[in-house]
Amino acid sequence: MLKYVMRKYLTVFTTTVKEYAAYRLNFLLWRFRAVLNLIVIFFLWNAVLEKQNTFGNYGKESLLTYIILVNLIINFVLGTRTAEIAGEINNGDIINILLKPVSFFKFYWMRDLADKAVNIFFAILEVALLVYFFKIPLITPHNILLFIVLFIVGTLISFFINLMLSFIAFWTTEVWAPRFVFFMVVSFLSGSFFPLDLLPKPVYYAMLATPFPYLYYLPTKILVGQTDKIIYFEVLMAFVWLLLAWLLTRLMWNKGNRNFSFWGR
Amino acid sequence: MDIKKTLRLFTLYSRLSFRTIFQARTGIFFFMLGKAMRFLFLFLFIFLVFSRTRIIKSYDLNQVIVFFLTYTLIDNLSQMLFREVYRFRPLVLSGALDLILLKPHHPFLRILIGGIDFLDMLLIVPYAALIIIFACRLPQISLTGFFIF
Repeated sequence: MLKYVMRKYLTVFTTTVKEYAAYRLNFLLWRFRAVLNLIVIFFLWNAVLEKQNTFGNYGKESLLTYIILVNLIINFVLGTRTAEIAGEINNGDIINILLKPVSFFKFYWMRDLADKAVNIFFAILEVALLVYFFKIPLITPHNILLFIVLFIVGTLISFFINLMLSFIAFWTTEVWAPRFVFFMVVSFLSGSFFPLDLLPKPVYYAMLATPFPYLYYLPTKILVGQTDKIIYFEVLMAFVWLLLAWLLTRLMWNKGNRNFSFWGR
Repeated sequence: MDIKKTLRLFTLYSRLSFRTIFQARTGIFFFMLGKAMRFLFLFLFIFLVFSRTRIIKSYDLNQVIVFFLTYTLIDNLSQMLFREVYRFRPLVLSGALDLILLKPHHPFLRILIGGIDFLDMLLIVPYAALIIIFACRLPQISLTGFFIF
């Protein structure tokens, strides 16, 4: 039985990976864009640190390692296929999934995992090439076990938030705009451009009350060893946000399902 | 095709685009909010970098801001004029492109400049104003330089 269930979801995973082969140029250009983003932000920080060896509480190597690693981790944490759910709710195609003998959440988790796996595979290759050609000095990763725990938590929070953004489609067709706002907020408040603890202390602490730092800032900060004390509060908050995100997603899904009706597709 | 007819069609498509955009009022709010946030966040990022350094590769804060604002303005202008290209792929995939190819005008008129994005148009004014403000702070600015810009 377990083998049958595993095979079912493994098929979802492999089918999603194969979908990328259908539009290869599209995917290649997507990766090209990701590399450009990384190069621009890396060279900006490299220029800033050209005449000084520290920036805030970060040494040159720590900061450059943070930028490289955070851009690597983003590929996994933010990689998602859940955006298509909104369209499927609006045009009724979601019925086709609801009628299948699969769990909706597991089905999309496997699709997300496939997306993340493909993106991280290419991202690792790209980063390795950049590190090799530009001789980027990287520091040895720290606290790998704690990183893995927070990395999984961040990935799950991102998955649930993305699901919620799509579940908005149960009530309105205007689904793209809230997702656009989310990506704008995430790009800044999750630490893609700089480590958040470079911000003034009150702003930084206010941000810790939101779910965004737990997506990829906190795991990366731990990996580059920028933690001089055990960060119980941050770890606790990450789990609180995971629980909240899960509960809210279930709530939206249940309410949305009661609200939803469509006819044969 | 004569220029008069092209302009008339461009105006017509822009009018239709205006009506389409303003049908989704919540969308307008969120898109404007998102665009404003992106601008504000990047602006703050520049200030954050310059809070701990004075010069980056011989560029000072005002020069970097003028660079950023120029990019934002050009990006905004092109998005305002060519918003329709974002919808080209779905047109091809769905086959709806055929309906455009059948129309008695050049297809680029519809798939390239087929409707101004009025949300981007609204943002041009503050961007242009900010460029002027920060450009005026540059000590080396001249009237000739401004016109060449």
